[in-house]
Amino acid sequence: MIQKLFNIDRRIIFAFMFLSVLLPFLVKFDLPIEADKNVRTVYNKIEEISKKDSGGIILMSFDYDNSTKAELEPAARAILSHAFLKNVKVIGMSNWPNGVTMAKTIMEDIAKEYDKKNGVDWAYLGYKSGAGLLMLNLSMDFHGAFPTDTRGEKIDQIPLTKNIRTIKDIDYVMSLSAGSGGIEEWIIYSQSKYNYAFAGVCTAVSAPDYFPFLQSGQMHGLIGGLAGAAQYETLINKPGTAIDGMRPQSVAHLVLIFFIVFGNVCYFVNKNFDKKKERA
Amino acid sequence: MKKNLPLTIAFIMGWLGILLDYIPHKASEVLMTSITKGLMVTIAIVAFLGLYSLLNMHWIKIKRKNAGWGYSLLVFAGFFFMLIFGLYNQGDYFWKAQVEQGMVEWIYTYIFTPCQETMFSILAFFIASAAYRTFRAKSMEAGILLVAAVLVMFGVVPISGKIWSGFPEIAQWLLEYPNMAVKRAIFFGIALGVVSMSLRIIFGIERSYMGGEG
Amino acid sequence: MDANQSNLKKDSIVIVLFFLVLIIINGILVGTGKLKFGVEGFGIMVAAALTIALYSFLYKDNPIFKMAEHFYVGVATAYLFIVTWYSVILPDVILAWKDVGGTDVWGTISKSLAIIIPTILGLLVYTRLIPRISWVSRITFAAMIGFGAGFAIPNYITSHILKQAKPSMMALWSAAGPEWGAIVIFVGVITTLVYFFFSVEHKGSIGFIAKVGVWFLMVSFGASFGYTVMARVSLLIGRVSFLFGDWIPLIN
Repeated sequence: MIQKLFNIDRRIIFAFMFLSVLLPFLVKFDLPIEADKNVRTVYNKIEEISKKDSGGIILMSFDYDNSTKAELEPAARAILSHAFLKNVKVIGMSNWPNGVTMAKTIMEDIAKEYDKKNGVDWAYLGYKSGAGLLMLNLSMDFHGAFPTDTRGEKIDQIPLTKNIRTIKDIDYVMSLSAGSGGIEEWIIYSQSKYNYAFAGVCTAVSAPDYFPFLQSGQMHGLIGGLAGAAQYETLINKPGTAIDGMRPQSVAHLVLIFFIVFGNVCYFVNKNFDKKKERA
Repeated sequence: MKKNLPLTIAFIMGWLGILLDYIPHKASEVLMTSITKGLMVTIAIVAFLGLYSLLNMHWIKIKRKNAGWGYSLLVFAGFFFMLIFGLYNQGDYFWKAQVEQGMVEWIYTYIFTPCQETMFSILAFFIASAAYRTFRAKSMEAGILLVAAVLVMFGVVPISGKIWSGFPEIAQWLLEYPNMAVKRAIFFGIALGVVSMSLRIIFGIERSYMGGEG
Repeated sequence: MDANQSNLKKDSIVIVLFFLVLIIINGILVGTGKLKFGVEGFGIMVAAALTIALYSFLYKDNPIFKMAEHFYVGVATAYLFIVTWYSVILPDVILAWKDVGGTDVWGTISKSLAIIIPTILGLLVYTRLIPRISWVSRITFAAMIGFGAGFAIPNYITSHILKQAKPSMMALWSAAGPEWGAIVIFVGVITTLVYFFFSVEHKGSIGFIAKVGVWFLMVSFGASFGYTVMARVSLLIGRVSFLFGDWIPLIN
């Protein structure tokens, strides 16, 4: 029996996994979501920037693509909503070529919701190759790195970007990152040199890797994974896909913990049984 | 010449990369900006070589009618389907800035995005299967790993807070202290490794980037 | 030959059945008004078909999965080409010539060189395709990798060593008593570094310190595994919410 359970067809496990995600969508229940201090730091910084006379400017670097869209897009939408609600201006850019259309769509959607004007309240500069080279280049010469935005308009003539010479003219830089060519490169090639406020929004896979940057002060705040996005949605009081996703996330985790514990129980029972058999 | 010229270039560019960072003069900054901007353009042109390699591989498969060559036809079908609309650019063609809405966006939203999202979401199933079949506390170290994994997996979801407020705090503590300490030690190792490998490249000891003899 | 023909027949049946089932489901959805047939509606149908085709791999490798996978690879390749063209090549190599000119001779020369040199360097890489002169491509790689190696050194030393070393050296004891957090960090960093130091044999006291380092490593890997699970499940949540939210509207 134990052997049968050990060698269970993996398609049955797949089916359990699928149901553990689908069923919580159909059965609604409330979950307490409380923002941790790293998420709160990002929120508080945007609130602080919004109090500036000029309204403040954020640079959001969309360093991810569709492979991690489900994790990072909710946070991107929540942060953009927060910024636009508080009349903070946003400049978007990308280090990952496959995420360009996605990033542009997100900015356009949220800007439309808050009636924000392209070129005045927000701008999307698009993609340039080079990752670390780009980050270093735009930190020193913003107009040189991105001569035009994605509409072909020169950024030294667009009202939002014409007075930005270097990275220090931006109040808060954020990288929404899925891996290489994202948060770590921003810190290595730009933040450590120019010492500005920098926050990371990352996939849960890479979140544990960035805690040293948080403790050293190189990173100002961190929103990790879908759970971090749900916490941010709670702070801005705008429930979205992240909060909705917490029910299936919780149930799926419980199912996986059950699999791990059950697998180990079966393993130890089987081990004891084999030992007794040997002694007999 | 075939070996010495590239090694000399690597040496000069390497030292430029180091020295320009430390020289606070305006001229150094201008040179650094020009070099980084130039290399960004070079990298973009070089990227097309990767595209050529992929398409060439499938072309050879079709030419030789190797097993699965029919699927390689689909690679070209997808490639030209997207490329034609991309270069047509809603009538503006490829010598003007990209038009924002259009067929490229439709293909991106309804073909490219679902495919990419789905390919990566398949990992959730495999991680569940792997966790059940192979995650065993066979030794003390494996047991520590298992306990830490279970505590973090449980602590990061909101349902744990509903059961006991200590669970999220334990998960957060594990991330902020022991995990952070290990990652920091790994960072020291990475930095030393990067510095040593970079010096090997600059001084011509490491030549693997040059490829084979030719 | 017979085996091939029989496989081809089997594959064709699977493909036809797959499309038939999708047509029926989509027909029901459109017929009952749950899905509007238009540009967006048709797009959702295509997206759902591709999603299910790729998920069919979980049952076993099959021609539907292979078709979807290969088509996606082609589309992705073309998309990368398009983005690189419109984002970098067109503005920085072709249209950049519009700004070159005027009375300033030095300005004109420097702007021209800023376009010509990177372009030539990039094009030199394509000599790899001609065996007789393939060595010329090494010049570009040497320039890129040499500069990358050089400018990584000061940046990595600053961000990964200098800025990380200082916060590791926090006070382990204060007026209030032992600072347990700082002690855990200090012990964790030192023991992990000792574990990775293989020039000394891990015996005796060094062996014990390395063992403690292993325990810290296991805690870190466990935490990373926990977060990895969260990441992967989140991606699945995204797809399920599309299939049963946008396509078959079961979820609100």
